[in-house]
Amino acid sequence: MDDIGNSLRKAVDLIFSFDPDLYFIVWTSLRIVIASTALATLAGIPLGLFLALKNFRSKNLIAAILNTLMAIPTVVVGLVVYSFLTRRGPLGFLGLIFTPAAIVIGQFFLALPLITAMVYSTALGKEKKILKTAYGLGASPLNALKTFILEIKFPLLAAVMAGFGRVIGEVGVSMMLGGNIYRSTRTVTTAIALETSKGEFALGLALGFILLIVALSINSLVSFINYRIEKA
Amino acid sequence: MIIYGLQQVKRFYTEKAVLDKVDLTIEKGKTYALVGENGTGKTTLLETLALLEAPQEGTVFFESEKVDFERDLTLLRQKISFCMQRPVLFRLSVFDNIAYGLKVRGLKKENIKEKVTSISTVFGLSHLLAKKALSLSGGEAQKVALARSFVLETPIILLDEPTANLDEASIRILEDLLSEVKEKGRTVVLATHQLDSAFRLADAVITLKDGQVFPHSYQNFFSGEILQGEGLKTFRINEDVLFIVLTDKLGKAKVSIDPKEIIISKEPLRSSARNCLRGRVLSIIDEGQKIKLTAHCGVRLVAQITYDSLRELGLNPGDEIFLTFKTSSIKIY
Repeated sequence: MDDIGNSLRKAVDLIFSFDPDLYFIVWTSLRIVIASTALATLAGIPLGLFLALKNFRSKNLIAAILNTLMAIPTVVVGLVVYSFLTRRGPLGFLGLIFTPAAIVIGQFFLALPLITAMVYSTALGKEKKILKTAYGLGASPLNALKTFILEIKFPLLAAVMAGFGRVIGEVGVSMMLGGNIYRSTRTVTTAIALETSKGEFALGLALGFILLIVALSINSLVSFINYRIEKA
Repeated sequence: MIIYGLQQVKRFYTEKAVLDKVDLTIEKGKTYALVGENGTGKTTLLETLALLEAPQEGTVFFESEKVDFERDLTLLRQKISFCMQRPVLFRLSVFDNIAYGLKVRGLKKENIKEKVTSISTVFGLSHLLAKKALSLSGGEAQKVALARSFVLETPIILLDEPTANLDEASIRILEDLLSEVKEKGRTVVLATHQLDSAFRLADAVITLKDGQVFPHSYQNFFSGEILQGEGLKTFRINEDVLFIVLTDKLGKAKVSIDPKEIIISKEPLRSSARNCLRGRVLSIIDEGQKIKLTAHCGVRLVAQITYDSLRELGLNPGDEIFLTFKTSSIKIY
């Protein structure tokens, strides 16, 4: 209990100390997480919609694979991407290993199945009625798709936020592909792992609190924007 | 002119056929009521007419051209408005919902506003235009969905259970609109459970049963005129055929006579029943539990009798018979 109280105080102290190292770590995390979530969104939404709207035979198989990938351990994703990006790997020549870009790639593969699967399941139940209504009123396929996306924008946003949640808290990919390099690829989660291994539990916990605060702020911001859109 | 021609159209989900080799023609300018129990394929048939889903077998002709469902059908669909059963309103204001079809057709803003305002007045929705559509009650939502279809003024209007959720006053508004639409020569197909309004509004009734169309299964259904006779009123179908009816109405009307209520005899019956027509047996069909006897007596009348009566009367096609029924067995719409 003492530890938790201590670390809370430490977290507050840290935040208000405006320690440049700390802010750099938080900034690195945010940058990477936003990039990977954005990329996974760009790929996952069209992919999920495609799966839901098109009829083809292997649809159920793909859905099952996606659901399985949602449960994949982050270190496994890290390991697979590592084997591609490592200097001796097929994409080694890109020189991406142990850079923020490598973490972005790993997190992209972490968030993609989750976002795709959520978009797919959201779209699957509603697509028929909404699209039929739009077509029944004379909409072109493009207009109908636009209407459909607008109709399911809140669950779509929830899918994106779930993807964000999956990557902001992960440590496996960041550690394996980023290497926890000071002032380069050190993220909040890898910093926590490091501090904990050094026995600095309070500092680790404080960083944990900061991570939660960051996640909370972003979620609140999104809900607020949502609310404003809905009210407008 | 024929607008739709369906030839051997088959639609099935998994194994079960929802539409089973349907042959159907829809003529321009007529109003059709699509009746049948739940799950008989009414909605699927309407969706086919709305060109929303391709049949797995058979051909759909629209304006005498074969419909190629692989192609972009937007231009054809824009001639049709389809108001679904339990319609989905979009996450927009009531105004934007009603304006939706006009917007996708690329109409000018002022034009849209004018049309939306006018149809909202008809449906009594003017005070709701700024509201969010998803906050409406069931009846209001249904009216918005209908307004959204009618505002388009398409040559073809397809309505799936349009009176569901509507109160009496709104049903009357809808019926008025439908007669107006009919006068303008537009084609309407409406699926309904409410047989009264189906018969009142429709030129023809399409009956679906287990995915098959029975165009004449609402037997003994006639259009004509109610005239004031001496004392009693009569319903005149044509020069030769008059029924005596009991009603307050006068003028154009439609009637139906339940085949079970018609008594068949070889001699004219002296009874309290006011209608006794002479006719000839056209056909005798064994329908399992009962016999369907069709006779001609100026119009075609169908009566339902039992095996025993058929045997007792010894009827054969071509025989002269008398058809007797009470005024109370004539339903007037």
